[in-house]
Amino acid sequence: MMGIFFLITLPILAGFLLLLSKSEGVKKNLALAVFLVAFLNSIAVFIRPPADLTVHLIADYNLVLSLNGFSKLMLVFISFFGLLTCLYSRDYLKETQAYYSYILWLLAFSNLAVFSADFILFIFSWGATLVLLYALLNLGSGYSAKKALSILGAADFSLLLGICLYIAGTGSTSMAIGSRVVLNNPLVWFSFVLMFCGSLAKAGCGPFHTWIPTAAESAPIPVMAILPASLDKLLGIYLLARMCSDFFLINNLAQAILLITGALTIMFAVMMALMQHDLRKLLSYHAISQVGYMVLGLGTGVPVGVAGGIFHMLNNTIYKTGLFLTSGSVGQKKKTFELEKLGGMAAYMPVTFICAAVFSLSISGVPPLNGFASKWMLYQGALIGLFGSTGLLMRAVYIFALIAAMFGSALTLASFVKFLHAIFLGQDSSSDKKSYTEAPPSMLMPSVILAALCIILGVLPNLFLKKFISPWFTGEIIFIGSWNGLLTFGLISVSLVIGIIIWVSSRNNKNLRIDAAFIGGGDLKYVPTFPATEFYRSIEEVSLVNPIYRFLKLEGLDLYRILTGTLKAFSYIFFILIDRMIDFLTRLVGLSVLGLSWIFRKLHTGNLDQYLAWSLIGLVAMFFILMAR
Amino acid sequence: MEYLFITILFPFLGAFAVLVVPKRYRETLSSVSLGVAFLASVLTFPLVLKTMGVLISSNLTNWFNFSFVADGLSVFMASVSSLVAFLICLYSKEYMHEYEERGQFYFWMLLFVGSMMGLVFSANLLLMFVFWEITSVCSWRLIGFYRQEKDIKAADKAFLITFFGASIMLVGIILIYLTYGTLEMNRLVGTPIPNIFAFLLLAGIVSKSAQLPLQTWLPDAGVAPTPVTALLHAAVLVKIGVFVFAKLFITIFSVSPLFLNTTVIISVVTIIVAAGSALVENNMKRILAYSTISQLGYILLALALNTELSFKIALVYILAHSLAKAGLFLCAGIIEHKTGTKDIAQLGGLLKTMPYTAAAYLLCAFSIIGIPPFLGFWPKFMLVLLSLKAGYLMAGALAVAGALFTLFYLFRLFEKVFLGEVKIAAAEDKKSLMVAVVLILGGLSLILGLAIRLPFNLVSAIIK
Repeated sequence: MMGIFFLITLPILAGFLLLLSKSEGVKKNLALAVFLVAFLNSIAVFIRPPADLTVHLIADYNLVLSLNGFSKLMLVFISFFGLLTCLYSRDYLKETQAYYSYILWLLAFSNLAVFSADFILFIFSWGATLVLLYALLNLGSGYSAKKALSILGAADFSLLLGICLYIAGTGSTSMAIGSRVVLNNPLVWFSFVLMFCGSLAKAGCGPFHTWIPTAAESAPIPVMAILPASLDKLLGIYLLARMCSDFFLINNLAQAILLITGALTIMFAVMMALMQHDLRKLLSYHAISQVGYMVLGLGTGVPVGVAGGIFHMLNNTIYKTGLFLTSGSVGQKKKTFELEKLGGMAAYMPVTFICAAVFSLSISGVPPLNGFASKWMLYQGALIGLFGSTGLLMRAVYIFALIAAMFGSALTLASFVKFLHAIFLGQDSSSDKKSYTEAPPSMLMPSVILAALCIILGVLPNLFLKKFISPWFTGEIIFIGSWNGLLTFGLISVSLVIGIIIWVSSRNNKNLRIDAAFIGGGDLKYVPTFPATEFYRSIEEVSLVNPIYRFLKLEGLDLYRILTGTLKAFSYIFFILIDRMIDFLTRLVGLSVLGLSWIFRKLHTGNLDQYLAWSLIGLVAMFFILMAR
Repeated sequence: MEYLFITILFPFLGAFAVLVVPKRYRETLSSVSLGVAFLASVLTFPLVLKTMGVLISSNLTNWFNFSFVADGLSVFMASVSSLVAFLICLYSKEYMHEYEERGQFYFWMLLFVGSMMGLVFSANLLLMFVFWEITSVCSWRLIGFYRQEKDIKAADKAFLITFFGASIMLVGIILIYLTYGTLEMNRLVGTPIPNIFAFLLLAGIVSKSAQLPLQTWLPDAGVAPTPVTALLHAAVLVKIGVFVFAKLFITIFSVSPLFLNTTVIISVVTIIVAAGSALVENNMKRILAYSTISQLGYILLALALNTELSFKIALVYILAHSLAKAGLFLCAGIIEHKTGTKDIAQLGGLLKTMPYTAAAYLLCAFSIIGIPPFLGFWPKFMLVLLSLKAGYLMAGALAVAGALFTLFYLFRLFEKVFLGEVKIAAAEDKKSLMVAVVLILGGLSLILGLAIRLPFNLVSAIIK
């Protein structure tokens, strides 16, 4: 178990050490070394058998660290993405401030979160990652950091309440009590929904997603790549998966909630992505949309679907991180992320282009890449669920989810055609016609590794499932449709090779004649181009989808606004109706005391006759009182 | 046992010495006497760990005695209070620099700390009440320190409301004497008291800890110099109420469930109403004052749950809140000192010139909100858990809602003051003792949160 301690304490200590250093070189190298050690260590831990470790905390509460299959897998991926992002940041970030310390701490607390086998430790490390998210986004802009903190903070408090309710119900703080709680009374439901909200917000699923596009506008690309694109997704879906498989016995209604949330997120987020003009916002909407698939997969309740959801989580992290990193490389060269101002970069950055193309095809679910492999499992899960369910309503939900998933896939492809076109193909629409160089190796290497992974996992998904997911997965993963990744890959490779041969041979074709354009007696100066975004703008105008877009673009739907608005409204009610009311009453008491004393003061005139008169009245009053008795 | 007397006497001696020593030694003298008091209170810990608590009594009469007790609760309160007092005294040196009547200021501050120490160690109800009233007088004088019309009004309001509560409490004390024939706490241990007595005593507690409906004096008290607000109206004085609650209703008297349930309701309503009010206010110190009211509600809630664990939780909460809230007020003080305004509408963009203050603010704010890994997280989390376990579902849920409000109002304050455009320029905040103090408070909030076992085991060891 020492390895675990090492994985957590080393990054924390290194982070503090880095705070002392002023030199950028030291920070870069030390952070990279720590990430490398952590990654190697995580692999070493992965090979070891499952184990538990209990540390006494306070009162009768213990902290339990557990090393099971799922957490070990998560651990490897967390360190892996940390390592790649750290490597990428070397040349991307010029001024780092405390960036490296933050990502090291982030690594430590994310590791701690997936190792936790009891809720106290879990919510502790979970919240710590939120603070680090805030700190990292603050490097970009204060507003986006605050917005993220507000939404995720609210979600974390809801998670905390849900967890407390769960603990109060089961009487144990352990995350693995062996039996699952049946969703049969309002309190358990309440706890489920609260925890569900917490996990969705972390993963960035709708309707808790609005902080991601805002953050994307200002946060540095590596921050986007490490948090919303990878670690937050991993943690959020990890929690959701644990909820569905360990904490609660999911029934039809809960499944329907998951399926519908997933389906709606897929559709609406991808529709929003289609309309974006900012590269980073486009990617962040896709990051949201992809979460929908994972939630949907977990909602199918069928082993192949659930395993597909988890597999999709890993796959998505791979290609989404890759997309952010490649976009960052381009954006850094062009000093802009606006799609209209980019274009033609494939000529200058061929390796980046190929990687981006692999990621784009993968996210769109094109075989034989990994995005397809996991989506294929999701579809099967939904189909098995559909045929297995009896209720008409439940079937309708499954069908809706299936349609949404396929529809989303198609739109994703459309959106990434635009992505590739706008950035790498097409013409350079900016005024400066200078040439660019390929990204430096430290920025290229992460993308190449990720692209290679996309292909490997796409070609050999079954091997991965057998080695990494099946050993700890409860339930047997049964496929209803067969799919041979290797065969498809072979066929596609052959056709690619043939294509290249044709292209090379036709390049030297002497019969091809290239001439200047000649129109109406003069040379054509104006080269007709159209920006990639133009075509998609027309989609927005189609009468059928236009109302949906107008709905989606409503500012009032932003959860952040709803949240702040509601709290503000309550605040005014509390402040005016209770606090100020009490203050008013207090003053009223004070004033009435003053008023009374004013009356008494007026009675003291110093006139002897008046005092005598008062005495007489008093005597008479006393007489009557005594007589009355 | 001599340490106990040093703890009580040194601030008193310091207070009177400040009036006579040459002007330039005043600050040093105050800091030294508070530092000594803190060290002495820490040195009392071994005594408390070994025994159940030590009692010294003068055995004069049944109703009044100079009796002092050093038990876990009082030693804990004394050391937390004197630590914060010491740090704030260091801060005051620079903050009060330009005011002429510094002798007065330190006299009343030290007098307050002395009577606070006396109060926490008192083992006689009447003696405790005497110290209680001395703290009220100190608070009255210090709120009205600047002698403007509005300061004096606020001071009078604070004094009158707390005095109103205290006099009701006095009736309760008298009734206790008439019924049981003694005011010595050790002779009253385990006595079940009627609800009416308990409610009379509660009135004093509610007024001192600014719980609804006697809370309105605390936001107004923000007109005091910031060290005063931080020490009296955030970290120490307002804790007297909850301390006495713990002392009387948990360690001495046994009370009915009806009384405890009423306290739960009061505390929960306070948490949510005060937190809501903080989101509306525009004055930095009023926002923080409402926050204090709300946080004191959490402490009262923990005490009202009346289990051994919740008692310990309340003590950790007192520690967490004293450190972090003092830190927040002192940050506000630095800002006010540099810009000359408390209105957040007139502030903005201070992050550029005051990064250290901003960092300290964030550390303290995270702790107050209750976000891991900061100290404030642990007691809040345990409190929610315990109230749900005890069946107070609504209380647990509203406690979480209160935390959400806290998140929003503290970050609203942060955004308005530190982000956005610079409206009033402020000088850089480097190499200042004031900034060092807030950074210490913020750092302690983080470090003690990571090493939660340290404060919690300490509390567990002294509470038997």
